[in-house]
Amino acid sequence: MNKINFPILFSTALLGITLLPRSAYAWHVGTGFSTLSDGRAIPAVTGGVGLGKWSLTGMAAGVRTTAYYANAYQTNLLYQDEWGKFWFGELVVGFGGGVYYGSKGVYTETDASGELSGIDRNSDFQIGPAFRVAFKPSKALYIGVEYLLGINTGSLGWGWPNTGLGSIGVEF
Amino acid sequence: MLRALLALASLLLLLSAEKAYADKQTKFGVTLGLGEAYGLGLARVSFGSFDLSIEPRLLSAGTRLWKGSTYAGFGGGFHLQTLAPGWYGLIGYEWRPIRVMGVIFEMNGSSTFQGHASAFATVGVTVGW
Repeated sequence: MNKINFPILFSTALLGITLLPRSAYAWHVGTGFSTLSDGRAIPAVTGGVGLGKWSLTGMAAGVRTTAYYANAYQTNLLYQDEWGKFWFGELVVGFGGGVYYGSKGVYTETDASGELSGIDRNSDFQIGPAFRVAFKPSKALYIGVEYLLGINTGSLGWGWPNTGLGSIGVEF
Repeated sequence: MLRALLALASLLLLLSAEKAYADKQTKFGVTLGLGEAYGLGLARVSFGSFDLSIEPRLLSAGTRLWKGSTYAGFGGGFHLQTLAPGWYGLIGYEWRPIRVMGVIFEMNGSSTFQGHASAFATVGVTVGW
């Protein structure tokens, strides 16, 4: 059985979303920092399309160095609601569920010439509740967070694998 | 006599719960929530709708907006280890069986401008009046 190529799957899904009629839906596109590279300022991209009260969102992040690589893809389906006037703007809130897939590889050996070789690969899959909170200081701008809390055996110990990002972007 | 006292106590409890839902916003409140491995994950002091919190990663200040028993909040803060400035957003539900005490379930995510990103879920107790 062929392995699923997540980068191609994710890109195709994003392309499919962009083919939807722009005038009928609310869109957002943003950039920020994700849990994939927690603690390092490596940008991730996020986007979403509002389908009435529902919103389909996605995130992609990746990093590659001479010593390792890591990628992450996440998509959420959220029931979204305008929460009301907040400070000098509005608050938009979404709640639903999502899935996450991440893969990474680390070079573990050095060959005779001193070059890194032998890569140790692993992947990560999460599924669970997701939420998005975005503060909109104007109609076109937002600053927010969007995360998924994975459900697995660690949840019994109240440990929730969290994936997602905080982002700043535009809505149109 | 005992039954009458119990009935009266139940009635007061119910009335206070009704009042709690009608007047959701507390003037002053303290919330403590569970974190990973059932340790302390959230400590929050609220003055009206203004919150001052210590979360696993962030020392934060912000505001919550209520819709019935559910709430959403947003605010800014500083990363506890690096002091990098950042922001957070949260959604939650509060069940308040009596006027001065409630139980919360909350999902909270934060990010800093230096790349820290994390989220957590918590169950906690809030005491306020």
